Amino acid sequence: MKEALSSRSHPPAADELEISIFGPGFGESVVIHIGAGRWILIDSCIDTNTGIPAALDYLNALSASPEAVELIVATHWHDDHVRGLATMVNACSTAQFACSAGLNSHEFLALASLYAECPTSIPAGPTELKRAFEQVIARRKTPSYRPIKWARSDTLIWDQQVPIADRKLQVRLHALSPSDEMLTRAMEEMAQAHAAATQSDQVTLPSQVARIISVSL
Amino acid sequence: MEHRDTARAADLVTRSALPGTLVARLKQLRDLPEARLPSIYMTPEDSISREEDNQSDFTSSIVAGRMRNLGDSLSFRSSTNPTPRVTAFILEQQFEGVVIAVDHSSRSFIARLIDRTNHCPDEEAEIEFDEISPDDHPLIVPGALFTWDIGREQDSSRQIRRISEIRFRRIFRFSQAATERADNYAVDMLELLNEGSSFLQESSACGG
Repeated sequence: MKEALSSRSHPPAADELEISIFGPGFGESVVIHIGAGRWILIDSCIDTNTGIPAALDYLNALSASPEAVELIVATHWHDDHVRGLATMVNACSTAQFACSAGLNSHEFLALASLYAECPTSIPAGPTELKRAFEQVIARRKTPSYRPIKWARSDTLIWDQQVPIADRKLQVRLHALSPSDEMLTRAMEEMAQAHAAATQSDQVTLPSQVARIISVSL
Repeated sequence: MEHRDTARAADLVTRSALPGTLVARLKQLRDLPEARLPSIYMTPEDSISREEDNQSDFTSSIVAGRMRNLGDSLSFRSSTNPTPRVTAFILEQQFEGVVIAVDHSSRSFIARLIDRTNHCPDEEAEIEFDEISPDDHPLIVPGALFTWDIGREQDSSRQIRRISEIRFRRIFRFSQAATERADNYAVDMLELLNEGSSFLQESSACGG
């Protein structure tokens, strides 16, 4: 990541589309400049050199304000894609937050709360999303509050005009998933995991698959 | 061959009918601490280097020798034979895993692995049941959590072994109070999260 940051010492031009991909693997965090100094962030990972989210580190290196972030999308709760997500949501105080509609459920919120109290070490994805939700809720009484966008397949997450020079560029972000079938499966799995957590001796996590959302720009 | 436990190999010298060179060898036997003498067997003359030819340690020359029937000879061993205990474990890598799918026909399961040591990207792996302790087999279900420790173990005899161990989470139950807190939290959060918002299919204006 140090090499990526050093290769860009100035922010992109106002009419320049830039897509930056960060991560120990490939694409654990994506930073998109949609023009006119406005940004979209997709998922989050931690820069091991700085200990802070790679996306925020990059914006800071370009002297770009976190308040220039228009949208943060969490596609799923795998650890390598959500580390630092709550920190990112907190820093980008005016950004819209979007995630799968499958997470908008009593079972998921109860599970995330239980996992946060779990004395054993378990994957932290649900807990990180819980914290991100709490960051959004904490802004309820402020002018910058924007309710969470619950994404489903074939729906528009974000649609705005971006002024570039003397023109306006229409920017849209579509959710490609989860489908209705995936949502139904997700709800069933989380209900089972919720029941298991409260009734059995075994700690389990719901399957990850149904929670993934894909986006197209 | 008669076996007799003793901490002092020299005690048996006069009771064994040994080749002359071996008797001469044993006369020079020194008392060794018991811990260094877990077991000593008489070995035939031709498997032990003669004193004038080999200045190596007496104990090592005996232990390295071959066993064969020596007739009236005795084998002897120390009265204590401690099992080497683990004195150190060096953890080299640790994964946390979640079972994604189980295939009982092939006796394997697919798991997602989270690297807790190097923080590399998550990986998926197929693991056979044979890699899991039988006691943990009932715990192999979708969503089950486990840890996978890889490292080096050293015992009191300085023997080093490479260890790869997968252990499933067990014996954990959320308290009734924790369950109620979680449910109350979910009720409150659900109301707050959906206050003034709706599913995207119902909204006509996007982007704020």
